[in-house]
Amino acid sequence: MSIVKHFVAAALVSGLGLGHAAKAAADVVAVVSVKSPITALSKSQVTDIFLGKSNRFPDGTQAVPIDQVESAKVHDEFYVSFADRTAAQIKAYWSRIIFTGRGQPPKVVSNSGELKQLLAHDPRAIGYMERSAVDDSVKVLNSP
Amino acid sequence: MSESKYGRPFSIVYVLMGVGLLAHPARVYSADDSPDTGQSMSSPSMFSFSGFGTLGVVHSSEHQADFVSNGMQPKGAGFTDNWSATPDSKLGMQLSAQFTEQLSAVVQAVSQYQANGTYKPDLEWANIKYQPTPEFDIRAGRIALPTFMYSDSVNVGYALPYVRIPLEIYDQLPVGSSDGVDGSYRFIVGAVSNSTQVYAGRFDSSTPNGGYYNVRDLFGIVDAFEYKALTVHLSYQALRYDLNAAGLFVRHNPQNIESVGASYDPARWLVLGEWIRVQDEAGGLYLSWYIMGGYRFGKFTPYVYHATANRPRAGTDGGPPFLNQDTNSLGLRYDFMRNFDCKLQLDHTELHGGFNSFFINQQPGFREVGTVNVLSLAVDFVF
Repeated sequence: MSIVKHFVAAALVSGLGLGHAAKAAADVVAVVSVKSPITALSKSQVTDIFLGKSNRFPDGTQAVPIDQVESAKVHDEFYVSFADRTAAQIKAYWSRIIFTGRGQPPKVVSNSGELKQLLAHDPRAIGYMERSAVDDSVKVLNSP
Repeated sequence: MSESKYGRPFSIVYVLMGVGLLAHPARVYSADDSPDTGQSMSSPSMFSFSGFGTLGVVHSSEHQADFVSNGMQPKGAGFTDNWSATPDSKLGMQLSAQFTEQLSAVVQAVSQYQANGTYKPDLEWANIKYQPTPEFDIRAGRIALPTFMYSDSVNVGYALPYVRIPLEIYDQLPVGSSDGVDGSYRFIVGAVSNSTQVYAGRFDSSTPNGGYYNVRDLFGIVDAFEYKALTVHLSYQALRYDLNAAGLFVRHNPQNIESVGASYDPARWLVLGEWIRVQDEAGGLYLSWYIMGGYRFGKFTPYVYHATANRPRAGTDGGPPFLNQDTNSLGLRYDFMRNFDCKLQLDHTELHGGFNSFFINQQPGFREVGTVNVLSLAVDFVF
């Protein structure tokens, strides 16, 4: 059964490189509009908002998550760093939510520049970007 | 009961598929329709289209019967075909529409191997949702039933940790969706998020050779709560059914299902299990449970599970059990590229006698008590 052998061989090869996703603890920060009163959120609070488990900030106001495109490096890094989940796990999670008719994933922007424009117009929005992309137009959320 | 998924053809599925082909696939996950995102975002389309599917082949060591993954499939792997694509292969398409912040609708059609030997699509669900607040919503139409932890995503292989929901559990799922209403209420207290859903409905379906399976007085309540990586799913469902199939005939037969499921899914590993008790006046008392564990090595997730189903008490029909078996499974999920996974799974099943619902076309040489090995290879995708 050569198909099985190939599968097992591939598994062993991958095992050697295991945990590479976890090492990608890149410098990703959660950001909101400068008009937002929110200053700090824990990683799990940010995760709950992005996974649709919560749609409010701790002060009770509505939270609108803005995701980056899946092909962006910062997308994978954000979910590893904040949710401790790989991109594939996030995709499987949303597949289940979508295909049970329970909801839809966050809106998506194609880069951090587009995210900044959205944040400038919506104090309810929350996003994430590389720390290097941060400027005066956004507010970085501290993670207590 | 083994009669789990009946064909419900509906002409609107062809309309849906037509619309689907016209929709822009790149927009799928960009979701311009989250109910809470308000009007301040520009929304180029109120529709979003998405889909899922599985291409799978199955080999069974038992050549005197056909292994099937649901009781309605007329053939499978073993007797008819050495390797069969019919048990697991399927394609689903879904169109969602967000009309206003409060009002949305969803239609889903699934094409899979059916009783009549075709892949004619079924309308799995079609409902309208009214969500006056983020915490509360009501739906009306054809709705996926949340009877078991994974019963509402039974067709979406990509969302499942294994090739298919263990058949010991799936066999106890009388219906996948119902025509009716439901309401959900969600709240968060500290780190716990809780969701309570109540539903009521009915369901009509036809069985091969002019039979029927009609469900009435369907009612259920489900509570699911999450605390960090832990999810707990509690459910109670009651219904009555009329059945006329395979020589069985019952009317207004009451059935109650209680289930408890839990999963613990931190990033590196997962463990999940479910326990189900079905009391069916005609069919008797069925108990099923399974427990599964897996560990993630990068893109690879090897897993094992043990599942069992038995009937401690016979019902008024006096017949043998539909299912009386144990399965030990060993599998591997490989997330080989974005939006795709590949799974290899070996099931070692011990049959303890009875109808053995998932081994059909039983030949004279088939032994109703014995062991069978089933090997499955599947590629799941979402788009």
